Amino acid sequence: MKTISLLSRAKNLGSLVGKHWILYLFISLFAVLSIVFGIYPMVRSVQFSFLKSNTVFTSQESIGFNNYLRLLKDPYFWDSFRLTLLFTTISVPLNLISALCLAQMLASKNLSKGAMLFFKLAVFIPFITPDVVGAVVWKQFFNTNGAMNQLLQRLGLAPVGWLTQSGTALGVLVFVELWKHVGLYTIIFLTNYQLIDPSMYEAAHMDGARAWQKYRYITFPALRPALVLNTVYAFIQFMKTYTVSRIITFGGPNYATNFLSYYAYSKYEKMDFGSATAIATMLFIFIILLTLVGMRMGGNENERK
Amino acid sequence: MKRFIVVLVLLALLVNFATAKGTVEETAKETVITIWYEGGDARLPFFKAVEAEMQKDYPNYRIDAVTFDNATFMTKVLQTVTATGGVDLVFNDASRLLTINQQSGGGFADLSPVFNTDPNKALVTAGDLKLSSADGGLVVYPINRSIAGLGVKTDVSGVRVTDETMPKTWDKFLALGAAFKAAGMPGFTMHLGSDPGQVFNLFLCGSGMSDIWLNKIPECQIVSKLEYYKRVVSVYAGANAFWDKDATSEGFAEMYNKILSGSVGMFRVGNWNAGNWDKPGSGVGEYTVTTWPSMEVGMESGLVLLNTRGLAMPKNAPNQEAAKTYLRYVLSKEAQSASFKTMGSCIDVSVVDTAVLSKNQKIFFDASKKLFPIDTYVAQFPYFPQINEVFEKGLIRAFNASPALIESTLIELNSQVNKAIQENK
Repeated sequence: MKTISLLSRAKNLGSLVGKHWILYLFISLFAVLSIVFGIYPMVRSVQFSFLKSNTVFTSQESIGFNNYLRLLKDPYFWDSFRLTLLFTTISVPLNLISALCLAQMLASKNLSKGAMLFFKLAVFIPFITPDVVGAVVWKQFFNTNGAMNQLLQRLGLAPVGWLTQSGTALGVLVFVELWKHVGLYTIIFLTNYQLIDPSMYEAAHMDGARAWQKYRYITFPALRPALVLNTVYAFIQFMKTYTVSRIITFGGPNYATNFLSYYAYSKYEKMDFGSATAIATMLFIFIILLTLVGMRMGGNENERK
Repeated sequence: MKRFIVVLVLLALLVNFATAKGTVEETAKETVITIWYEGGDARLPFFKAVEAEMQKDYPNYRIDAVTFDNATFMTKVLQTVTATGGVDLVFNDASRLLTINQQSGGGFADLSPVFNTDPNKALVTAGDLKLSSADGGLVVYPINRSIAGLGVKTDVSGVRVTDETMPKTWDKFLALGAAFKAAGMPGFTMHLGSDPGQVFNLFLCGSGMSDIWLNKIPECQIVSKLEYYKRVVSVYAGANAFWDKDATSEGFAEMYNKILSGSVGMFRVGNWNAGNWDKPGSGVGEYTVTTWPSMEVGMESGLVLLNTRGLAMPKNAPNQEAAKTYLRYVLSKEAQSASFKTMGSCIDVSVVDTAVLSKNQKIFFDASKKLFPIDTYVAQFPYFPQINEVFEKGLIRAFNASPALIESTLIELNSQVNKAIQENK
């Protein structure tokens, strides 16, 4: 019985592939590229995490979970993990709320076409600016003798060690990452905004709904797909934060911005391939798990609706 | 029978002709020596100059030299040395090549036999050999040296830099740093975002000390040199600190930017920097290079030999004989002259016309100045990366500690390094 069912499934699949062979061809090409350039290095990276670092390219001596156990005993790893979580916890809501507000403003009918284009560009350009370029400019801006301190001094205020004190350095990175990414989230929200049927607002208006009620019962539920997408993407993005830490602070001062990705890189730089890939693997698993949870929660909410 | 003999003769002639042709081809056969080097295309003329010298004797040898940035170079060479093969010689700082040698379980060949027959071997000093060797063998064939001195700006209004005020001693260094600070600029800069140990090499080795954080056993030496560690850290974190505060979040590139904008009083100057920095419009402004201050009365004061740069030959190099032949020419006068022209440095200082040296290049070719090599541990202990990580983390803690906690942080670091040694031994 099972064999018959399998055979009929295979037949169905065969006829489906035959019918849409161009579609399957294009998808297959992409799948091959993904496997070769995406999944294969990932698998190798996981494999490396079980090897003794200085044998990765030679005898490939397996040491089981030793790299992981060493990391679990490393206080710098735990500090880095907590720091990455803190940074993500601050950055995700900050970016999403800012993007929602910006999208709301950009969707306003009071903006002329030209003004809307200008503001859209202004918000989105940081996202397409190369990461390194943006980071270098902000680093110069916040240096001890940078433009920010010069401005403060002109206002009669004392200069601040933006990048030389733990708290302010982290704050600078939160700000730079907000500047960098909020444009993308805004555009996604804005696209979703533009899909909302205006007649729903008119009907609500006729029913005497106030502005807040319209937002609460029409806008917000309609934005749920964009919200889920943005939340998941932002979470992944900020858990993996690397460039700003590498360019602006070198993980400092005193490891105050030593995010997991940067910590893995610094291990790699010292040719400690085992630890570097173990950190990358743990970060990968953590992100996958939390993304699945997030998507499941987003999905459940939609199903309930 | 007659016909048979004719056929035989014809065959013999044919074979002879074919064999003769083969020999001609063999003689003319070209051997390509593949070289990978760090440092960009500007260094290519050096490798070409060596090739030109070699081709006078070996016209069928030629090189194919390809450059990589450091990060790519390190992993690519490590992979090649340990697995894929295909490269004959690799060029970089000796410290990096020794690291690859260690990580690859001794993937580079001992070049001592080649060196011992080199007619120019007398040019190479004991210091050069110390920085280029591992496990009793010569891993890196030295070509030139990275030497560092202390640069002092002389064009800052309000700061008098004279023979009297030059930072020959630690106290004078502190006084001059304070003067720069009073004039509105950091008195000193050296990056701390990466390689925070280098500054101790400069100050402690520059005073003639050795085994500055590990001895040969190994045991941590920080406590035995605690006073000097405290002094250096205090320039950054102490009550009267004048070190550029941004240094903890900076690497080489940022440090160079600061120097090239003329915004720090004292800084590291390499022999590879001085020629360019002396050019008008370099941005550094007026400055002079001197030896590192002696940390104590009675101690010496000298320049610091940070590294040698040279070539290593992987054990799996496909053209080993040709590669060894190439090495025999790197210390020749023509090659050394090309090394000076492309990298501002060479082993054979006699090829340098001192009259054409720029003002601040001169000190690096002044035989009267002491030259102290830094310690090299990478080749001595297989677990060096592990203890070095502990050392660097501890230094970063010390630089970020409040002045009152600098000493205890350094003492704690001494114990942590010893603990790491025991755990990894």
